[in-house]
Amino acid sequence: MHAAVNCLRIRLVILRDASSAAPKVHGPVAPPCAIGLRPAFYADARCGEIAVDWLELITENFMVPGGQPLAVLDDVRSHFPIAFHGVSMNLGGTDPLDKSYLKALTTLIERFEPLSISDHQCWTRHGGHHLHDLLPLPYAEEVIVHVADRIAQVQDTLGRQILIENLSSYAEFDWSSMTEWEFLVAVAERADCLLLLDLNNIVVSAHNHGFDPMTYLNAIPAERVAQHHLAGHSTHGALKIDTHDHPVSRDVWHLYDAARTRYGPVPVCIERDDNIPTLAELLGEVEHVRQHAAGIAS
Amino acid sequence: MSSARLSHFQTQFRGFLYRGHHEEDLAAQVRSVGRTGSNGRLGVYRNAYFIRLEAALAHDFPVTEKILGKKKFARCAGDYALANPSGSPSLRRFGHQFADWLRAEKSPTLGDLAAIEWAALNVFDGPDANAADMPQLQAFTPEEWPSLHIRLMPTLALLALGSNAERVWLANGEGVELEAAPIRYVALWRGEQYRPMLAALESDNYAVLAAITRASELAVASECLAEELDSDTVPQRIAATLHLALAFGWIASIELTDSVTDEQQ
Repeated sequence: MHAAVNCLRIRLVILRDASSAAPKVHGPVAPPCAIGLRPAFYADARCGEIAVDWLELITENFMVPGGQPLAVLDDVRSHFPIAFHGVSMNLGGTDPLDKSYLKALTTLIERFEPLSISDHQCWTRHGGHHLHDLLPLPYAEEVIVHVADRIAQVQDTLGRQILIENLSSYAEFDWSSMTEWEFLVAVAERADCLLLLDLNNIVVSAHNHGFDPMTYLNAIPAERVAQHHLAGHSTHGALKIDTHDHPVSRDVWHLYDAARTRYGPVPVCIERDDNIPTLAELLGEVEHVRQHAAGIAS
Repeated sequence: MSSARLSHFQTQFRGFLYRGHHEEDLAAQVRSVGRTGSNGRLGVYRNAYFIRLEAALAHDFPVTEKILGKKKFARCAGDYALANPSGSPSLRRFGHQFADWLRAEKSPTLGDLAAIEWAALNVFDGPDANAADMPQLQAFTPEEWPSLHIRLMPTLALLALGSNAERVWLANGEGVELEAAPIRYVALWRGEQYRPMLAALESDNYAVLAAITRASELAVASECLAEELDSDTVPQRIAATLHLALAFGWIASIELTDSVTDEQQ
């Protein structure tokens, strides 16, 4: 009984710390586990009937004037801590940062008090046109400065650290003068932001660009890692594609074992965006995360 | 810090996504590793761009897709995407010009159908407001009516259709052929549980509600209506329409113009 209480307390501490310095509680503790909240699971989430510690939402889906999405989120928030995960902040873009976007985000933050705010190391808009994809950047010194300064501007506006997620990518450019992980770490250090390390994205990019995922993992300082994403992918020809339409793959679980050992029980979210399975199936993957923790502890 | 080089790179990349422009310039900058060359790698992004936008439109206009068929709809979506690049961080707004584009470029009847679907989406996630009721209107004297400021529910849509699109939409695109028809008027509004409700409107009711949308002060709306309706009957038609609108919950507020703030106007 005492052990269970302690475990719960540690989990709550980690959750609260997700938006500050990286949570670091090593030992036999299951990480706080989430799934990405998708419409198929709204009914269960509104009743609080999903066996997770928190839920992750796509921020832009709730940047609406009113109606059902916000009513759903009010109900969900009464049962679960939530995290906002964005796809359109355009941190690597050269258009000015979108003030109306940041204002809408601030409104959501004030209303729903999320654990964390995250977006991607990419560009998504150019010349006023939103491209609705997470587009790759060249890994060059001048791009580090550009991206990090924009992240710092966002953090100043929001008054909190944000989490930056690594991408799945299919192209690298001659302009790059360093590896993706060197770039990611340099941006995080300069901006003083946290990292959402997507292990599926590392596996996908490692396959597509021919590097060892463990090299990537070992280069990321533990104090910056505040969340993990786990997901599945597809293979098309010689490339792996980040489709989020399959269960978490074996090579991603394998990498998660290493990440769990290196970073401790940082919060984990299982992402699924297409070919949505039953809730029970998805929660089976959450249980798998918890079993991994138990396996490492034993 | 200059981002000119990065901006140029992104201009090239965007041009490639849209129309395949700069393909050679961009491909020359891509590192080839293993069996997949630069064109194959860039192709992943270009395919994903159009697939994602097409999927967003198919999600938001399912009946229009059903009527057109998947292949024709996909071609329409691609043409629309090229003509109307997204201006919003949310894909939810990408289709906001789709009905007008279909009317102009493909067919007015398809435009009608898409307009109904778009209005139904706005019912789902448009602004919230409480409905005014009859006692609120009855609290004002007849002398005060010209100075009344009427605000309709923000999710109420008033549509003038030149087709039977509303019947096709109600039938979910099955068993009713979409065809041109004499002009007709419909209202679409938020019902219980955010469900879209649809009703046919008489032309008088449509004219009154459209005039109130344009000029919320009743005196001004009356002047507009006098130009298109028999001026002697305008007061009665306004009164009848307001009763109808209150009964259906289409009015958000009724206030004297003096008490309306600039923001509300």
